[in-house]
Amino acid sequence: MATLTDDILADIISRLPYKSTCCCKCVSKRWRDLIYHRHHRKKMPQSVVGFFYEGYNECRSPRKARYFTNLSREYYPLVDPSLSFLPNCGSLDILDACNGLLLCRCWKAADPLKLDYVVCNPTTEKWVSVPATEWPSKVGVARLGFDPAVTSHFHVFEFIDEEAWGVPEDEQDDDFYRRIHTLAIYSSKAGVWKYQTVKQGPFAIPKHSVSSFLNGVLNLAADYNLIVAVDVEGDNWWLVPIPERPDYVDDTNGIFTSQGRVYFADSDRSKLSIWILEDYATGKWTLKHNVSHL
Amino acid sequence: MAATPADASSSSSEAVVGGEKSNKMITLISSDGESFEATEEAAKMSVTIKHMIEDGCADDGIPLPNVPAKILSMVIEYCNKHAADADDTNKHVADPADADEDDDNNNNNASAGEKEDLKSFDASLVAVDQATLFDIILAANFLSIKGLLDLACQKVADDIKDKSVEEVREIFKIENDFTKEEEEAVRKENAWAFNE
Repeated sequence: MATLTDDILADIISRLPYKSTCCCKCVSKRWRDLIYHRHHRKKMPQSVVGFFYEGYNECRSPRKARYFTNLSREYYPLVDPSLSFLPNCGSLDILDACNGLLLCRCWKAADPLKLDYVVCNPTTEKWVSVPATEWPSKVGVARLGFDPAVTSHFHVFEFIDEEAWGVPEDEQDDDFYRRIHTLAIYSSKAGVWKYQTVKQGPFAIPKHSVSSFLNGVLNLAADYNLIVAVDVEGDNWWLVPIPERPDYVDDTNGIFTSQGRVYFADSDRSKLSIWILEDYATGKWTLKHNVSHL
Repeated sequence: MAATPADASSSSSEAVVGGEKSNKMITLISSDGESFEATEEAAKMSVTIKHMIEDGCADDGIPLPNVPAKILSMVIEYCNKHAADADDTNKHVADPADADEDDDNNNNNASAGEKEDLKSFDASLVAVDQATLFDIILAANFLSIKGLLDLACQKVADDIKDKSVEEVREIFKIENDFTKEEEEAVRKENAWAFNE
């Protein structure tokens, strides 16, 4: 039987879904080497799984540096963490990532005081800027909501606290430092920001709060053992206390989502507990796993 | 117009598709010495042949030492069918230099019925055994007929999409040349792809 050339074989394999490509790697040495070969790799479907992280060290230059690591076995493709494909960006912070898109805050090269949000796909290098509000420089908590399975449109959430909003100091909440005053939501479909005064709570969200976007709902870890959830319209809110446990520790950052559900992971010295949220409205959690550290 | 083996001396006044193109017939000679006639228009779907015609090498018939008669007749059938379709909007489908995002065998002006007809023709053309399919791919590659190459490659991809490693080896008649350790290593790395 005729033998197909490498180029033709690579063409055929590149038409397969990623899962099938992985099976093809096991067919023979020639196939494995073909799929991994630089020349053909670009045609092959790739899923990038990795993360960006930033380090800060007073004693080196640059003090602040950002890296990208690809978690797949091949360590490829690598994404340039400077995101230099974004034009006019003097310097930028990556604020959030959601299902393949990044939410960044960019200081304009031309005008260091001007700030913009940019949403981009670091692997395709496509980007859009989100019209600036007054808040990007003051707001600690901005998050991205994007679910490609539902729509190609995204939402940006800004949680504006009392201080950023300009509430006089003596009127600010004493118990909740930087209590969230207003929620602004930007819809890429509508192209506008919608503001609403937050009636729920009170609650405050730490700057680097863990968050997760699932089924059109943004879930965030808030102060005082609370999980705050809000949908993309801003119509539905849920404030869910984390599951009770004997050692009272203020740490909500164990929230994560998986397979369509919201989970909370809680660890003390002797064991790791995984809870699953049954229902936002009732705030009921069920203990799913209990793993002893010993 | 069916592609039938013909003597070099047979008459060349076949029906013409698209009044503006020349009536000229081109003779193509398979690797086993059979001659086939095709309109210049259809023949030019092959970029390789197009260049030979333009360079003036086609007058005595074009020998194709890589393409056996059985495959050549199928290729000519494809070209006839698609030349009639592609020509109206002056899009030369086969030439990579002209290729753009919506090329291939789709003429925007074709009616829905014609498109369906073309689709089912294409499907039946590649509904052949693996050996023949591979021969078609190699011929389309050699002759630079992008639409046919895409069609045939896609068929192979569709055939192996949900197959196991062993089944793929069987289809391609490939011997497993991994050592036991190598195979274990590559399967382990890609283990997730084998889970349901």
